[in-house]
Amino acid sequence: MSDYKDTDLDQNIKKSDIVSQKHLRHFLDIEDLPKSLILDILDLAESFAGVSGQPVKKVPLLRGKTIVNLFFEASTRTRTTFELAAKRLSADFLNINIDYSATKKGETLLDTLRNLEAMHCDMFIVRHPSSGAAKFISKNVSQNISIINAGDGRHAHPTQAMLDIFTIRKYFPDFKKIKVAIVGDILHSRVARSLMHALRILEVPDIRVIGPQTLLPKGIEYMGVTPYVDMDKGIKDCDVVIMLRLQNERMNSSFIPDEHEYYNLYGFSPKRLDLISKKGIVMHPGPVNRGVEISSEVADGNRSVILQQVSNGIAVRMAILSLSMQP
Amino acid sequence: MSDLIIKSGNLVNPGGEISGVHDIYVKDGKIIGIDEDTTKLNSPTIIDAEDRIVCPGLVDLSVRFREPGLEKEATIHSESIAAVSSGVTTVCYMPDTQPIIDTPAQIKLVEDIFKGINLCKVKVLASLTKNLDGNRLSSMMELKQAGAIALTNCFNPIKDSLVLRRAMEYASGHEITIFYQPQNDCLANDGCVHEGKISNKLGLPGIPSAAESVAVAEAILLSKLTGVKLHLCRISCQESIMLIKNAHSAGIKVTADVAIHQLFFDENSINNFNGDFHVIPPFRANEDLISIQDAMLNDTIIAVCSDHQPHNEDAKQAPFSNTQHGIASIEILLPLMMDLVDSNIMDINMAISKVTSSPASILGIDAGVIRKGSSADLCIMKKEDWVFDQTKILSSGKNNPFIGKKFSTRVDKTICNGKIVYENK
Repeated sequence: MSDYKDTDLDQNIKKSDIVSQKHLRHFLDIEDLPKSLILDILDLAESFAGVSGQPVKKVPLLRGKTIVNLFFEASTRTRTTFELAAKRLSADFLNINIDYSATKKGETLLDTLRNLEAMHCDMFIVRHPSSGAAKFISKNVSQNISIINAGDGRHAHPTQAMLDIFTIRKYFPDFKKIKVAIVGDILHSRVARSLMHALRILEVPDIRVIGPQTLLPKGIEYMGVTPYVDMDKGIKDCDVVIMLRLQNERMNSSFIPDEHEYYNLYGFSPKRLDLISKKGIVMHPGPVNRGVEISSEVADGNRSVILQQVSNGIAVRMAILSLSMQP
Repeated sequence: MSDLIIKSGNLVNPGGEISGVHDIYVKDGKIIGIDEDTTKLNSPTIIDAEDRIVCPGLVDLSVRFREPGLEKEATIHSESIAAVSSGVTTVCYMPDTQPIIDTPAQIKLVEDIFKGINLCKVKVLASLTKNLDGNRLSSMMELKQAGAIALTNCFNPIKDSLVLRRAMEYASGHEITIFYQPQNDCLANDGCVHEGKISNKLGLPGIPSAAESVAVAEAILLSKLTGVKLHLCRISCQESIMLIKNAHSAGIKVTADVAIHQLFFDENSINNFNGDFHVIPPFRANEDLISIQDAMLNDTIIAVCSDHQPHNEDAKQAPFSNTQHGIASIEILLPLMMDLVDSNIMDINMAISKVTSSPASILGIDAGVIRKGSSADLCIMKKEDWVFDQTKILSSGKNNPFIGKKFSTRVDKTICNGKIVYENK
């Protein structure tokens, strides 16, 4: 085989994403972040968590900076929490929703970027239906613009993973002692991919992924996780169970037979609470399909931390925005 | 056209009887003698090929020069220059142009453009189904009579097994060769990378190896049923190789080729979403790469092609899954084959046979061999260290993951029909 590989170039790009331990060039993916930096982000988020409780919910950290939410895909929660995070940091903020199908017909992604660059913005928060889109954009914007990945295809949703581990740490401060299960459509989930990286870097000793074989990618063990097809075995004694949303279109493309069977096999019903550890918590990145992947009793019950995840999302995103902004 | 004497070249001629150091005498585009001037050449041009390797001109089983219809990406002129710089003297022209090559007039058009440019020769493949729709058979016999060397449906799927059977049956009756790119479209399911480690990691939709091997199995069984002369294009995975090997053991005469890039890269090359590595079939697991190399050695796969697909810059300027697939690799086809020799993956005779005599035998044409009486299509190579530099690419397509690669052999001269069509300066 040839000794020639593209990796030299890749290494350079990866290194330049992380400028220093306390500053990020972009925030694209969890995979290459050092553990210490992840913990720094969590600590910083902790200090921002108080801001939301103050009468004046603002700190002047990013005053005079312009941040653009560039969403090529629909979103409510992620989009609004980014907006709140930016506004609480006193940045000027712009929401741009681009119908992806419209850009496909005419303007290319690069043209869209060039136009926005010309408006002298400092940061783009990007969501896009294609895996690798945030990386692509980061390679093609000028030096002074930072890119935050708010979800790219099936690849990564790193801020969601950060807020999830922030929430987990509130209940289980020592990551090295917990068992975590992620349940549902692992195959199509960018949240699951980013979480698997985050949990691995934080040295969680037992990471499980649970779902029907059709939604568990072949060879997922590469990611350092243990796959389970049987949910009851999979969630047994887990401290954290993260339920994923089941998209309706999965039913129509023969991934699963129907909602009813899915709920029976993989839905978080109240009786399954008995299987997890005594202090175990149930999480969900939202939006929740009640009665499909989780029952209302569990989603609204005292073991559920779903709404805390949403609140924590603001503080965690404030931390990431402030660390990623160019001086 | 002046006569030529190529003196003292070291002939590597796996399909022929003569090899070693010899003089080649060329008159009126033909080799008229080896070591003997049979007709007394008229003030010939003498090429000193001492310390040079002389091999037959390369026969490339799959190229896309984008003309007619897609001239903004490349033209027959630009890509012919790139082809001869790599010693290629015969190219098989894929029919997925705009319009698609599915009429005798389209074949003639392409042939005429090549004749006008007069650098390398063309063998046109025409569409197996009308407008490549995968459903209605093209006028297969008319296309053959108009000069189509074989018929293919390119990357486009055949609607169902029955259409494939009928196409093969009809082709068999008229002794038409089918070039079939095996991919079950349902199983490929809009994927863009190999389904495995990297598709998992990057969250890119995967194409399982079975998408190819299921189609290979079907095609082999239908070729047995129909007796068609079947050539399987661009094999990429070990399961397909096993099926082809079994077919050979059972006496089914199917041939197969691989794209040159499949001998160099595996799925790990995509790790950074680099669109230059977006190819169909996708780069597969490392085990597959090793099986392909083995299959070359035991002649399960007898030919290597460039699978040349030039694109303009925009085609790769997008997130990975939105990029166009394909590599513009024709101008490094021979240097890459020689790189396999330098890396001890195969010996020089085998490497040269995969791009000369073997593809010529698949096509059933008199090419790819140095022998008295045959057309003077030759390539002269020299040992020289060089780097494949983006600024010096001849093809209109700069989409090439080999940019920056170091080579130790380069083409010195290419001769087609007795005319020097390329000279390295």
